Amino acid sequence: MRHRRPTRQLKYRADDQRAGYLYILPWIIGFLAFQLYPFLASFVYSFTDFSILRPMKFVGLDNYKRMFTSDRLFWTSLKATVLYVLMAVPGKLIFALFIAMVLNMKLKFINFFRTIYYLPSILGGSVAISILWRFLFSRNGTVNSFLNSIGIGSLDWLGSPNLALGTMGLLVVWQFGSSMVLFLAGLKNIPQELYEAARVDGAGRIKTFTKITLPMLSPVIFFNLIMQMINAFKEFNAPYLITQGGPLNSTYLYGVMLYENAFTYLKMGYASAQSWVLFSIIMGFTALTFKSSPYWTYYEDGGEF
Amino acid sequence: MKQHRIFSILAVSLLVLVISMPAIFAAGGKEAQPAADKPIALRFSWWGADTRHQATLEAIELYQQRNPNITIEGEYGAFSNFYQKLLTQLAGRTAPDIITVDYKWVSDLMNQGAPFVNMNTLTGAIDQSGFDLTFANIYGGKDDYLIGLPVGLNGMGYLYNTRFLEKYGVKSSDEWTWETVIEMGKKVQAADKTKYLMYNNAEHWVYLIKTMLKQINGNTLLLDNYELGFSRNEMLQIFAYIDTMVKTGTVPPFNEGVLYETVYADQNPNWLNENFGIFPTSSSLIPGIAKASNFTVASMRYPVAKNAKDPGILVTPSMFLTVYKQSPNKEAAAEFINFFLNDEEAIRILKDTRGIPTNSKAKNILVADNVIPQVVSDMVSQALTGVGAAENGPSLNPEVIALTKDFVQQVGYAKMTPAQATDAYMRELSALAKTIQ
Amino acid sequence: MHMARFKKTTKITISYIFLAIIGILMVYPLLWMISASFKTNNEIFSSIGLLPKEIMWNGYADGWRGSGQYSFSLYFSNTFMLVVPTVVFTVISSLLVAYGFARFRFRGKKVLFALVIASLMLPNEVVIIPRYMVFNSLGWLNTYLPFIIPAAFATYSFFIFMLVQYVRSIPRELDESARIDGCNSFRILYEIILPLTKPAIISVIIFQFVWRWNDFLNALIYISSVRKYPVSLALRMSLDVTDTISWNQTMAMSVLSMLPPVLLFFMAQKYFVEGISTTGLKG
Repeated sequence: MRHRRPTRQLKYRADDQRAGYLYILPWIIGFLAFQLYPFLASFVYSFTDFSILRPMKFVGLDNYKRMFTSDRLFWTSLKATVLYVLMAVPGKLIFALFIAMVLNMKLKFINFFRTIYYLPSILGGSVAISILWRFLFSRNGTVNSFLNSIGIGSLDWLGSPNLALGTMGLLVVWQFGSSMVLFLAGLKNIPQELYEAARVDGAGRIKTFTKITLPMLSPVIFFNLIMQMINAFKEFNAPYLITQGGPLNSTYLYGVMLYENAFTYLKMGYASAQSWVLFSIIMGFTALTFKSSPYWTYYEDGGEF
Repeated sequence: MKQHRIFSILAVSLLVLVISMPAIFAAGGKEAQPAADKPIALRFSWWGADTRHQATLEAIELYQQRNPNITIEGEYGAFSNFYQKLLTQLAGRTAPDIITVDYKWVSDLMNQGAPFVNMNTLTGAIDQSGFDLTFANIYGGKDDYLIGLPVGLNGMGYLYNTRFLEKYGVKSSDEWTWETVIEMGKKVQAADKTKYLMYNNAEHWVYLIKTMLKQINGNTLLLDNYELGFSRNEMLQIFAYIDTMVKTGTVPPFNEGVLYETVYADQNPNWLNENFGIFPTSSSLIPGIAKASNFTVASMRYPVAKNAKDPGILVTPSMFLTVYKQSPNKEAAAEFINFFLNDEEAIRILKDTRGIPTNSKAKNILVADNVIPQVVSDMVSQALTGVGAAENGPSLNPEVIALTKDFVQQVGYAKMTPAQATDAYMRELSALAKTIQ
Repeated sequence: MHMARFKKTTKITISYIFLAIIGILMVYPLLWMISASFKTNNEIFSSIGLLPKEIMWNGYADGWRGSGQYSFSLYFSNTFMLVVPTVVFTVISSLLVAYGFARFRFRGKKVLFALVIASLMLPNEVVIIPRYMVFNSLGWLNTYLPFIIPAAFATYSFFIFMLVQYVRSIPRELDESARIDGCNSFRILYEIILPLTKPAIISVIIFQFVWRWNDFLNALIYISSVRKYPVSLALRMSLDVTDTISWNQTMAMSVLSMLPPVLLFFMAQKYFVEGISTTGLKG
């Protein structure tokens, strides 16, 4: 992690070091005990033909080669996934921030509204969701009836290969609750004095938003951006529940492909290789975001990390 | 410094906790060695919904009463993810003693080293006289190995809405050919543009291809040696037929219908609201569909072409009961299966909750008691008049099925002409066949 | 003056109208689920309307009774036994670790922190089996330990990252002045950081509670005995197309299963709303 301000002291203080290690010790133990082995194992699998039950054979880079050269769905899936990330992540963040700002107002019954807005996130992957989503977006569904009533024709929201991915993205945007909560918590952290000072200076609403709200919220935006990106790249629930990858593989996201290869086709070795490719892609995007962060995030600790 | 001491203590105790945890809990994990009257604990896994769960638990209860030293723990749940859990358990060698296995998984599981006891070695413990072992071996066997005993019988057929067919003057019969289907499809469309004769979900399109192929040349999609089971002309004929079904409005346009590709008629508003009248299905799904439908349903035989090489109708076991190879109590598990499939009282408790029994003894009892719903037994007996050659492992391979579904959509969405689809399909399927051998 | 008040009232009215319209989209699924819990299978799948034509009263009573062996009382109490300790341990361990990362300088910190985040990036599908092996060798299968113990060791990295972000938004001057007053680092954590990160900690509690409450896949893999099933498994226990499903019962139990997370959220929100804006940070 880069930081803006040159560090005050470059040497590590011994007691600082010791305390730091002690505080993160639980994680170190947890990582070694529960996470390291599964990670290494899946990395090893990616060079084998591991099929869950049969003894595995090393196949070198075959899995990686096959993925890039002869898998008929790999590129389709990767393209759909990137497109999906580009739609769902900004959509969700903007919506969540906007709603959080509205819900941050001092209104009566605001507690009630906040709870209502969190409901979709509690519903999660409930079986009711897939039933409802089909009702809403079918040819004779609610959305089309509404569009017809205002004079717009019907669209095949989930049935058309061109629209299905976007429609599915709506489900994820709709479950914006956790981002909203984070923004709300972040908004509450902004000292009121700053706003008062801005008001005294006669700053307009837009200026207050861009000069105070956004910078003060930037650590939370940053966190939300990274997490939503990671989750969107790994998205599995929405396509699995609603479209199972169709029509014409237009919603065949990476997560669905992985799942099918691993547990339907029993090609765990191959799925592991695909996972590590996805891991590298996510890593790349995340690293870029981290690298960019000194230019747009603001920390009260002076950016020292 | 003081806080560091606190954390050292905390850290050490956490570490001790982690290390000692296995010792504490491992003790609870393994129990029960086989011995005559020592208590034996068996685990039995199955999928289903309430009726099946309740009947099975009742049968278990009865068995425990008769054998006080045996306790059987049911591990039951929904069908979705059952396979994933089973695979994980098999990988960890922690699977239950008695496992329910879907016939579609058999071939993969056999290739994976067949983690189940060979049923042929359990003839002493399980009375297999009521079973058609030839049938059992086709779907669950290889050479001298039999994975388990088939429990229910499943036949493919056309389930229809009687009111709908009557309204549009469509006459059901067990003599339909593929031409009849199109002819009737046009008839419905002529009467009402918004109604369709039938709807095929994704799974069913694949059956349609497989069945037509058997009727044309008697082959499965892939032969046992992983060669293609068809010529270009033969597959072209099938894809052209699918194209005709779409173009004549025999089935709804894909943009409209694709939403319900992965569910069955009981969850399809177009079936429930009578926008189409026929749902091709296997008999095991009938009770659920009938329960959701507000109209009478009946069954007719699956279409068979004139001069068909093989009538091609699919009749399969619905599931197998197997004994896990790593089970410490194989004998006890086998004895329970014997009770479960052959005991008269158990048969009367379990009824048809796993489909029409494959065990003729059980079937006769249930027929005498008159507990099998008429539509279900109709569909099975209609299917039995035209049983096709059995599906083989290569054709049941899930990747082959997924590929086939994809090309149905290519044709259905008119992204490819039948000819283009045929060529591309043949190319992809040959390539795939090489990788799954 | 009059004009200003008028403007303010308009603004508030518009806000309410806006909140209500969007709110309908948010609440509709729950309303639909409630109505579905009184509908026949036919109606659940044939219409999206809210008023059942033919009312099925048995959804809640029969649904609660479950499919014979155990009732939902057991599944609910199981879920609490799984979720509550997991949440408590997650909060404690994640805060300690986040504090360590956010406030101390030590060698290898960036690499270790990169590992924290990297551990979020590998898709779950391919680590399910090796992780299952780990818990199997520890003898923890069919217990809630695979959820609880990793929480005690801060392996839910999401929360570490999240809390690091919040701790970093607290001015360092506060710690430093406390340090000068002779506070050790633990007291700084307890007396300064903890109160100031309360909104974030409440969010951790809500998220972890909701996610573990709804967690189906891990429960499926690790829990085998029906008597230990959490609600997420129990809800799907009776969904099988080759049998007859009583959808109204499933919907009824789905509605009930949403109550604890909803109540928690409703009660907890005032904390991240009151937040710390009143404590007057700078200084």
